[in-house]
Amino acid sequence: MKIPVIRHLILTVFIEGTAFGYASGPAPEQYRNYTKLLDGVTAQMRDYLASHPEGNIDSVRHNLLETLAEGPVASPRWLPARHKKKLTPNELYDLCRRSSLVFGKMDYVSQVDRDSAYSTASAVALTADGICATNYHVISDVVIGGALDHLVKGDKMRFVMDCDGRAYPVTAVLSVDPVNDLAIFKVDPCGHPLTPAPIGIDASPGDAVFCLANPTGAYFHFTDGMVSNCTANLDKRTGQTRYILEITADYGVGASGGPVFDEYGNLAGIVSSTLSLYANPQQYRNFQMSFKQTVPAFLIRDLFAD
Amino acid sequence: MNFKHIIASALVLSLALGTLAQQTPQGKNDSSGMLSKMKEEESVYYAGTDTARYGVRYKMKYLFNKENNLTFKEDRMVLVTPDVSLDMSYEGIGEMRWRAAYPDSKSGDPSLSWRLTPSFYFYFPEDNRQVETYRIMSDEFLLRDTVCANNWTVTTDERTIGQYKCRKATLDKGGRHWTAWFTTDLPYKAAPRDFNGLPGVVLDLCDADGEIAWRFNGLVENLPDSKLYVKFPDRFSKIDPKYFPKIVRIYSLSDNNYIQRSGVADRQKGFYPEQYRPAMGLDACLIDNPIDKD
Repeated sequence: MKIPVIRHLILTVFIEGTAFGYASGPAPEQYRNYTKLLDGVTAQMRDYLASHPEGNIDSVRHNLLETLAEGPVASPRWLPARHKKKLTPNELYDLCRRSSLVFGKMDYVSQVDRDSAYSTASAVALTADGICATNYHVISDVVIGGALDHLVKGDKMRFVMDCDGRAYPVTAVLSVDPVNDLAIFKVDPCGHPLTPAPIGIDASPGDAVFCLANPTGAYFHFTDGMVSNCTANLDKRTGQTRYILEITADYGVGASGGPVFDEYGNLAGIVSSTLSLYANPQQYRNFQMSFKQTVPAFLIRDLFAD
Repeated sequence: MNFKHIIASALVLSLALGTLAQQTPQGKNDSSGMLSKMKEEESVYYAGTDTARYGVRYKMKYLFNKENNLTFKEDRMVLVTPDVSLDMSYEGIGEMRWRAAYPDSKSGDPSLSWRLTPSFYFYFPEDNRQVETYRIMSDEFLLRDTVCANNWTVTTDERTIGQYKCRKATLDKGGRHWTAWFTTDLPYKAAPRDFNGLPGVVLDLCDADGEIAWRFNGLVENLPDSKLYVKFPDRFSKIDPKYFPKIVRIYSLSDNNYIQRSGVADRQKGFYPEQYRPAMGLDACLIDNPIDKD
């Protein structure tokens, strides 16, 4: 009886000692605690509101009809030059994660008398001075409410967070395209210019693409694939056309609005939705494949004109 | 083995029947409960409001997108009183009447176009005044308040539409040549949209290119259980009218789930029986062939 106990003790000390030794040492640089970074956003946003009392989401809603452009949102001069060198996936990740953003919200919860920031989706920086893109459905509650000047109690902020944990409050919605699920908004750079993603040339089926977004529970998640289809779908009831860049790179809930890059590190599109194909569609049974539908980058480029 | 199968099948069948048995009366209760709640809201919202003597129903057809040859169809109606007429969508009242007549039906009225543009055209014959309003959810917008300046030419041509003897009139308006057939067999004055000014009730209206038409589709009765209210809005939105195109674009193109999630639908709950959103209507359409070309 004694020998197994002693062996167990020795093993325990050995294993736990190793574990303690590993945890107490410096982790490789690529291991990042994004949850901790996001926890720091609440304090940043509280500080921002303290110094900018008008910088809340109510003012974004209230000024929406004024800030919403009917045509282009800015001059193309503000867009960064296109990358021309083909990059390895590692190089792409290092370059592109600086432009990829976590999109989030800060609410006041009266039951616990506390406000807290949390992530809801993804976004991408387009200009250094704070113009960003996401999906319309990510920001639709602000737009729909704001259009009729409807304010929501307890709703305090929208923000984006970069890969270093720096948070930027959303200050205006500049353009929306509900048909193509695209929204362009402005954040306050708070003295730190954003790292914008250049807009690439139009991607075609077969082109390699990489998605760098924030599916629920995973921040700055990097996947690869290719363009599987480019479609223009005319709705005969309305005459509206929805353009879809279908890709095979994986993503899920939370990645909405996140960037899809080509192999040069230029923006090819932004995540929009998934469409699941079932053998028995009435019962949602026998899942077969999931189409990944993204917003093509040319729709963003068209919003930058002189 | 066979016995097991029989027992299992019997069990599944009894469970399914039990579920169905529970669902049917529940579904009926939900439907009648919803209808009675709508009636209650309706009586609050329309308290003291005048009702139409009758309504004229039209099939409206419009080639809105020439590039793709796309046509918009909507059931419209003009409600008629001695003092005012009102052109509005028939969809809401049509659907209500269908549900009341066929409470067990799982589908809607197959004769409807299933389009509803929340535009309202009031005409006050005494002042020759035309007022165009628009409702988004529970917000009313005043778009135009003008004197009717239609310079109709009444001809001697006659034809019968339904059982009503009509006379032809023509008008050049908004870059189109219009032909209307109006009758004096029906009382008072009324016309679709802003095509008022004739001494009778317009039953048929179309442009010379055949791109836009309102075709007579029968009369609508004012029923004790389903009244045809002619309500001029109590108040209008304070939002600057210059922003209206932006607002209507957002509401006509946004998915209904997003509108529900925004909380806008809840703010006037209990006071507006018809919280219209323009997504089912003409304003959701990409128009390259406007009705008014000028």
